[in-house]
Amino acid sequence: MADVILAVDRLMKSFGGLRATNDLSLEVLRGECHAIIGPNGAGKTTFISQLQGMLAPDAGTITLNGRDITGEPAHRRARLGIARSFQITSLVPDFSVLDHAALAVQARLGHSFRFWKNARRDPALVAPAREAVETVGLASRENTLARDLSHGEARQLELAIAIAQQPKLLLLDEPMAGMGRKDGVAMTELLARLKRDYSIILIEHDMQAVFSLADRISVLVAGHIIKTGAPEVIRTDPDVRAAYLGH
Amino acid sequence: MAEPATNLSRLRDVVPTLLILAALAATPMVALAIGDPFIVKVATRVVIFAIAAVALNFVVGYGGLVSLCHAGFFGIGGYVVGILAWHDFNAEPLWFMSGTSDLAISLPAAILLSAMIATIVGAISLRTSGPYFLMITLAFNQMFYYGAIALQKYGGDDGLQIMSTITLGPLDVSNRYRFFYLALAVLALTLLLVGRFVDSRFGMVLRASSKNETRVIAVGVDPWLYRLAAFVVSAVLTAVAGALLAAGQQFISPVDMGWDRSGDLVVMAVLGGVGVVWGPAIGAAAFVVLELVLSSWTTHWQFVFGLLIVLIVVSLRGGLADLAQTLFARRSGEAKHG
Repeated sequence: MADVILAVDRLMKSFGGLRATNDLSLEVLRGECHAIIGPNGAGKTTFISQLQGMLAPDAGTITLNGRDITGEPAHRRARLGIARSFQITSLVPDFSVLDHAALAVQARLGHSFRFWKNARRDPALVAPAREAVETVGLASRENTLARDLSHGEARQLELAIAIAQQPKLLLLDEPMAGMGRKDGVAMTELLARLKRDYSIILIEHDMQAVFSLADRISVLVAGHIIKTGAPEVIRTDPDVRAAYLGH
Repeated sequence: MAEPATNLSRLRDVVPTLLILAALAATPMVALAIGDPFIVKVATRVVIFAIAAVALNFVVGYGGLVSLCHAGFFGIGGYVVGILAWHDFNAEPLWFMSGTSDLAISLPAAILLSAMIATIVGAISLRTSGPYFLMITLAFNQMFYYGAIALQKYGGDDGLQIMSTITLGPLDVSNRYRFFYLALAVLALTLLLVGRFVDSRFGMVLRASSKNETRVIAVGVDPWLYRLAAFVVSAVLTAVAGALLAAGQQFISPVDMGWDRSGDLVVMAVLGGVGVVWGPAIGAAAFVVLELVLSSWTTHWQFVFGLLIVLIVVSLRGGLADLAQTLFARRSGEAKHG
């Protein structure tokens, strides 16, 4: 058996009558960049939310590194190594770039019931945080507050936070959403560098980016994965073309 | 490097804090100079409410939790001192222990009791958020309020007069000036503690949780326990303020713990500025002095008071602290140009 980092088995999630996740099974291999594509409303973000733990599935199991995490709350999954960058940027407006990364570092280092020492002057937090910020190319903006960042920079910060968590698995929910072409190209380059170090689940609408980054691609339609395969296989698959690529 | 930014923010926190404490410390000398001891009484009241408002702001300004039960904790602190002193004066044991008028014992007792109650109240209230949190803490405040009224043995509605002499260890603190400096020391300690807390790892989690809980959970922290801890710390410091009020005026009554008093504390915090640790201390001073001055002018003082508060809050979004900082920034700017 190949080295599976994440196994999803027959996951189900309904909202009222809508089956947002319908018998979804998926395996992500360690070290791979696994893209999930699918038309709008296919249930991609719903799926990611269940992996992260913000949403509880109705049925099915999620296994991380051989451990069943289906019942674990989101914060504990983060400690177990799942980091998510949000489709809609989720930041703290009055925290600086560095503060965000440092928060992720301190969460990783254990409990935060430390009341006395100034967190912003704690090298144990600042040094790794700065490293994450530099990795995404925001070093020159490290003291800028989140509310003053451009859209592209905020997307980069989302990534920096995820990296600062030193995750085993990165869930990237449309990291290029709303980016211009120039920022998008820079982000693709950044993700290409990151995929060397992390196992990644990537949701992205930019097909050029998906096909250049992904090792494997799964196609999600109406909450169900209809196909998983290498990019060249997916590109030419008739079912996929019918369901999605061709329209 | 982040150093210049942190140094600047440090300056912004430390300088005003020291100025406030120095100004307060000078009031007894002013009182002596112009021969008006009433000033010390007012200053003591300012200091005590400043402690409570700074403590409350730990959860309001930094935790995003508007609590309306802090007057309850204030009253609990006051009643612990009052009841222990009552048992001391009447030489009647309270369960297994004897009463005491020694703050060295009754203050820790107030801290312990308020911490226990705050843990329970917080654990229940923090299951909710926003307006629901507001309502449930309000309900708890009313429980405490009517609980105090029900204490018939200790004066009920009429409140509890402290007949014994309050001491701190061997020190007699019934002296007005001595008591003032005791309260001021507690305020200084409160400002120091809250100031350290908000910049610590704990504070970063608390602040981030108030603005974006999803983000905090996503990096692996469950904010609940941190909020509870902040709530308890805040309640305990408020109870200490209440204990000091009872000790200082030799009297505590249910009026000191009504829900409107909880609202007053929130107003002090907002008026002074919830964004800085020392803001609510200014707010408390403005509140107490305005209340005093306006009520001596007109019986409809609350109308004028309300107008003033609306005016200040609308024009200065960061409260009075904003005004102070703007003036400070302009002065230092001028200095640079000159």
